[in-house]
Amino acid sequence: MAIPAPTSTHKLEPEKWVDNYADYLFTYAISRISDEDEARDLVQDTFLSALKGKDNFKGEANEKTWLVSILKRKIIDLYRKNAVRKEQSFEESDSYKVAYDHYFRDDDGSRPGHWAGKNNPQPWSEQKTNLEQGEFRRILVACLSKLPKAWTSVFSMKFMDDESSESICKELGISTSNYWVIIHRAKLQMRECLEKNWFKA
Amino acid sequence: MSGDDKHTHYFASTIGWNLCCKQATYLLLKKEEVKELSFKEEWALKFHLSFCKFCKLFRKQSAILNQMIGKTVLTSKAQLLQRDKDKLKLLINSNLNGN
Repeated sequence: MAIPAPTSTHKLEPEKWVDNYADYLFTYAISRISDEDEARDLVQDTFLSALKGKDNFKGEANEKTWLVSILKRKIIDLYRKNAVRKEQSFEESDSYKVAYDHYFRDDDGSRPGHWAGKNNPQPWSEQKTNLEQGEFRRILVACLSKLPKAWTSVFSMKFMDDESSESICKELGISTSNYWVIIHRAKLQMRECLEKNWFKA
Repeated sequence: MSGDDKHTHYFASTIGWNLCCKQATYLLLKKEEVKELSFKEEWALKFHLSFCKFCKLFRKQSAILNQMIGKTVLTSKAQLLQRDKDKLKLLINSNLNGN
């Protein structure tokens, strides 16, 4: 893993890392991988890598930015590993992946590809779109954790890190058209899950 | 190869003027990011949205989600247990002293 090596001014104070950054890094990790245990391990790995690489830190970026960049690298490595280990996870066979026909009519029936009925979008309660942070966040994380892992990676890189489709495809090694299908299916599933558990009028 | 490639093929090969909802929702999500679709896709989508109330609702809700997800992540805070923090501190200190 390449650790950024900046130049002068900022200093590292490893004794204060836990108090200053542990919660921040944990929040960052958990919102992207939606698994508490993995997030906790990533925070620890980040600190360990940072300690190992601390002689390369030349103080160009501040301490926090530097630590986040290390964590981010680790998250992408994990995304990659998930995508590689489970080539399956980009495929149909994933047991909890919701199939297209959950939403749309069969391609060879009548009115193929139109909304099937049962899971059509329903109007949302107005007040639920005004944020109540804590509770919404909990449900968002729960819904994210129901996506196949490889989809979660794509989804959080796009919606949380605001990364472009090109850089996501490059980082994860997927084709552009595959990317759009993943976004489509992940969004359908997230919309439905959040509607049922949060937005329901 | 994979299941998603089958769908990829579906979207690449069958998008005509008369969209079904599966294609329309696919295109409108793509449009959120790429801003400009092909001329044909753009008009086919416009036409579909002019009469399909569920796809219109989907578009509106998708925009709300993008906004809410962005805001939530920026402002949310999760906390490690004190127990875990103590462990991390020990680990860091022993590492520092070891060097």
